[in-house]
Amino acid sequence: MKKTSISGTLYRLIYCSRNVILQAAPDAILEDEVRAILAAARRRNKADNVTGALLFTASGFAQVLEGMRDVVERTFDRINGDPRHADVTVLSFTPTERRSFPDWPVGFSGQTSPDIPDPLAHLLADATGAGPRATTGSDVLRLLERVVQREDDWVAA
Amino acid sequence: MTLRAPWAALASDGLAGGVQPSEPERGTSRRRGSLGGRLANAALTHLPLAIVILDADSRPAFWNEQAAALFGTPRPMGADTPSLTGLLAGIANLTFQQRDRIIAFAATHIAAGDRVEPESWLRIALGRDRRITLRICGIGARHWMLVVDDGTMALAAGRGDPARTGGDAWLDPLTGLANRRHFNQTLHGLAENAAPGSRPTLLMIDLDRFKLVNDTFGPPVGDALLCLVAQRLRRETREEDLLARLGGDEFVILLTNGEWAEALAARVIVILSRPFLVEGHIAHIGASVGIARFPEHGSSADDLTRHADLALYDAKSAGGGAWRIFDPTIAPEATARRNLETDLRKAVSLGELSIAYQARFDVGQQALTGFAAAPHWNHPIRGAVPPERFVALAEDVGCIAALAARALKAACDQAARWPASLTVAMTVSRRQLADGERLFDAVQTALQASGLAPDRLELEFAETTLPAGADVLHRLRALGVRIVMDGFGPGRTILDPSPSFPFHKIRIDRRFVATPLGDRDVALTARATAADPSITATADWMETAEQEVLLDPDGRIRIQDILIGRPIQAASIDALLHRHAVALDNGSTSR
Repeated sequence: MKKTSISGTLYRLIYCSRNVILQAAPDAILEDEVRAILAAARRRNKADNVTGALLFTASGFAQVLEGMRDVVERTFDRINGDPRHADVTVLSFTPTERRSFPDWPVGFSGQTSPDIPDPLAHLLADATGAGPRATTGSDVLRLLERVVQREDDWVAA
Repeated sequence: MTLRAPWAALASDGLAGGVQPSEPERGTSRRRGSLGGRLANAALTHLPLAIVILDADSRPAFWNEQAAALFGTPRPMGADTPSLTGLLAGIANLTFQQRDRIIAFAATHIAAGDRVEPESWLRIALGRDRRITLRICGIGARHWMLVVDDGTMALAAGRGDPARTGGDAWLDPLTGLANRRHFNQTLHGLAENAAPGSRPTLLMIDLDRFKLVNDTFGPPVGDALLCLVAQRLRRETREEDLLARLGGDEFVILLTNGEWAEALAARVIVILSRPFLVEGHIAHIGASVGIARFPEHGSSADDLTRHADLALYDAKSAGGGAWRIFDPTIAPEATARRNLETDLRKAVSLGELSIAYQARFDVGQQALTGFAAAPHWNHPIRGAVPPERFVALAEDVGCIAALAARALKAACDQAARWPASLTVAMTVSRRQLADGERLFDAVQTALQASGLAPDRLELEFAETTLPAGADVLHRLRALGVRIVMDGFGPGRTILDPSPSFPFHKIRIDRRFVATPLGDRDVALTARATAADPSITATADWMETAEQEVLLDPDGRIRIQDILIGRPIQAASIDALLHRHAVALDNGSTSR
């Protein structure tokens, strides 16, 4: 039997999910919805001392959340129930020595333009389907580290 | 409790057994009555229960201080007495449906007069963590007393926090949801007092794969997971619906009106199938839901519960992750199966199953060689249930591993007490073989605990269960256990030219040679056997001398042993051993 870890350990969660905002509400404006998600997440995460990054595209979400284990678990369960996404897949949930996004309550990269290839499209197909190549947490972490920018500017824009 | 409402006495026919209520707090000149009467009045005032006296038209004639606090309505003033509806409207968080239920509850009891059962009462959840209990009884000829018990009043009266003083009898201590008792009471109340046209609906929810999580990560993680499940379910239910945990991983939602039951069931499955992060682990479970709707699926609380349970069972049988509405046409069959399943689970967990032993006799040596052991279930009402019936059921409901582990242990313990020349044989089912790790552990544990020499344990695998577990067969063989293929014939697995199945022995299926054994069959079997000369073929279906003649006496197919007599219980084995004492001696000297 695995030893249950102490709730005070720093953990990193990486998950991805399918974007169903437009299925749930066909008239929604994606950018507005994401602005709302970010604003709420930012407020909460700051209070909970949770940091991380969110990549958002037309097809889905990929998110890294870092914080104390019990707080990350609680945050995830709240996010999990959000009707704006589906097929939530946890790619990794492990203790970590240090935060990858230490300064960002919700680092953010949005991509809604149809002209640019959607970096999450294949990832979601891999992670949620039974594809031959499983997407790993570190793939997503690298992707996020590459593309994510501070969300403050975007939200303020 | 800041509101200190003076109380009043309006009833003319003497309430509460002739006590004339007065206004002690005001100390008016109207105070009168005996010392006993005054004490009774004082008691009524300070009683940590809200009391409302209703007349035959459900009109409040009087309420005490606690009731005034609960309703936020001071004592009645003259003719401006509010209606019961108006009073109830003052209760915080009471929904319209709940208010109507209370009114219907009161009206029903008043109309029924003395015919009402004294234990009849109603339980209402106010918001998430507050509940009130209502009870009504007749006092005098024309009045009824509605008693409302509210946990917060008990607190105010200094009884302490119920959670710290032994828990709330109505709450599940783990999740904080309503418990089975609370659920049963609410359902009874709803079924008895359902407003016409309303369709209370039950959603019985059972988690899929919860046991696996609990077994893998341990009960503390399992408990934490149940709390997360409760939390997700809470978010999906409305305040006026009752959400309860009935025990284990079984939850129930009671909808006051079940028009959206199907949509909710689908949603429950979706949200509980999403991953959980619990105590540092990732847990994947799921849910099955059974739905039964009042009144068409049952007009009593018991029927409704049972039928929701059957629908749940149906959903589970479909492999989980599904919801089903109760289907009256499949009810009798499903009930029978469900009952058998319940009995079986009980029998397995209580260790009520025993082992029946059937002697194996070596025809050539004329000696007892050992016993075939099989689980035996003698149900107090059903009588002996045939193993083929309950073993298959145990496989379906997933308790086969527990059943088999117990049986293995019991059989090994027993065999360890027999003379060393005797073996014990047990059949391993397909499902057990599929969970090779668990099977291996069970065998190893049974051998270690009993001290039985491994080569005295024969594990029999039906040919049709192969080739699922070739790997574990090798590991078991390495342990020293004897591996036997049972029922060889129909599938002819052994004819595989590169035998990957490490058998010591093959038992030929009865059907394979029930008719005179043709040359071809003998040849096939012989060839297969020849692939590994250490393999012995036996035919334990050989019960008559005639059949024996059909086999080649000099070939590799020898009749090594046959089953004799009826299966017996362990206690009868000693006597049998005694009878065969001579044969045993022969057997051991010939080795």
